[in-house]
Amino acid sequence: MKHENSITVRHLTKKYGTKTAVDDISFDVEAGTVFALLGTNGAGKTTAVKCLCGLTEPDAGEIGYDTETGLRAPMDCREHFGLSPQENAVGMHLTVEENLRLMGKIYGVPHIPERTEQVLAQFGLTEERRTRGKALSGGMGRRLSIAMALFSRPKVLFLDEPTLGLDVLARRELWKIVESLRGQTTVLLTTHYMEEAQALADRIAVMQKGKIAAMGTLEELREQSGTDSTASLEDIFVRIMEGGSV
Amino acid sequence: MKPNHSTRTGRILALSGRTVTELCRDPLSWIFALVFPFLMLALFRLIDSRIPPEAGMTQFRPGNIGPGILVFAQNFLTLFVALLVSGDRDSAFLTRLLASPAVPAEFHWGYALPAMALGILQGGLTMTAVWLLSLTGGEALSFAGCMGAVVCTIPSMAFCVGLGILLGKLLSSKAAPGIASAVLSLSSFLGGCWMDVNLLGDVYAKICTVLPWYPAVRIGRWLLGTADFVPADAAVICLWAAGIHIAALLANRRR
Repeated sequence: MKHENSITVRHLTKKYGTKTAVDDISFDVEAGTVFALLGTNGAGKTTAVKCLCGLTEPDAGEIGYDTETGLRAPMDCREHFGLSPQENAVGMHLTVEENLRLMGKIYGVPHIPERTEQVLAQFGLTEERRTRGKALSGGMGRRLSIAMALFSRPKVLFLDEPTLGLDVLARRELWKIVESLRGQTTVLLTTHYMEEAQALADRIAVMQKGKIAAMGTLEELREQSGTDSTASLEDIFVRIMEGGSV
Repeated sequence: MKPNHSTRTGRILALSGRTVTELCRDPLSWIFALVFPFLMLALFRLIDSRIPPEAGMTQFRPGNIGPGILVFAQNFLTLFVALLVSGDRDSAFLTRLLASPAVPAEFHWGYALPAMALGILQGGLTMTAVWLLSLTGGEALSFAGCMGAVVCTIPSMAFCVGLGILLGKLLSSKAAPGIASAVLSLSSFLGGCWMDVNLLGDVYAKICTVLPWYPAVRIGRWLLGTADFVPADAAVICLWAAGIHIAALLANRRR
């Protein structure tokens, strides 16, 4: 019996015309852990996330979320999801505060004003609360986009390239936030930053041309790639990419 | 801690509130939806005043031109809504909404209802101006008829809003305004907004009667006493409105 909010993916396949974006991938994500999909651009990470959160219908395979009421498909448990897409997904004419409140209303979050203050403070957005989405800097827009994903206290959080375009300090701040979610929220993260996956993920799946080339904890990936015990994830990643599937 | 709980109505209201804010804060909405119809009315009033009475040309009198401007201005809603929806798609905002508990029909109405409210406001103000102009020009239209024209052309306005959503869903934010502007221009010709469609021949006139714009203009004119009632007009507009909303609801449901 698995824990509530865990994710099971079996033989997931998604094609766009003749191109197979995701090719027969299977994995499990334990509840409350951080799982990273790591890969170069075009490896199929974003497509996999889109399938996992119900945005795209897979061509084959199964995705299941273990919930209080049993195993459910993505479309049936979207109220428990938080998504931060690769691009900043904010209302351009809405202020920071209005964007957050909108998320609260759509997800039916109780005590929206209090939650808004909490999230504004958590993401360092309090001073920007009356700034409109279109006037935010790239980094601030990114923070807001992620804050919106977390507003509803989701049980499963999808972060698609969350630190793309963030400076080093903002990136480290976001890492702290993701760290603080460990144990409570199941996080599925896509990234092509090796240090990010190494710092945050409990388990990592390396994707290459739509397939999972290797998967496991950092230690397991070292073993699978035949690198030594001091090898960084970048060394492991390069070994896997050069050698194909491990 | 209380769990999250949202209702369908609550989500539609939340999305509608957001659309209202976006529209109100976009200066284009104010300029094109509310200012432009008045400028057009003023222009046609000027043209009408230069036409000698003995010419017997009534095309630009408020009773004729008013419903034309009313229906033409509704097409600006197509432009705004197409811009808003395509912009949301480009900014990934729609992706976020699609992954939320809101179902496609809810954000469809979240876009449509506020745009239609803006359309009713636009129509009410335009036809009030038409009524006031008619008083100064000796035509003295009925105020009830003017407001009736606003109410009876709600289906054509709903068509324009639905078309905007459809274009916004199918096109990029660069392509959507161009196509919406082309529709706007077409509507003025095919709607007979400021010309008699019969002048271009029977075939052209027949085409106009099966498209949504001319029947709407003709209903408006009928309510102001400047055209005959054609029973099929209401059915044509309602069918177009229903069809375009169904198409918009079905478009890109899940990619």
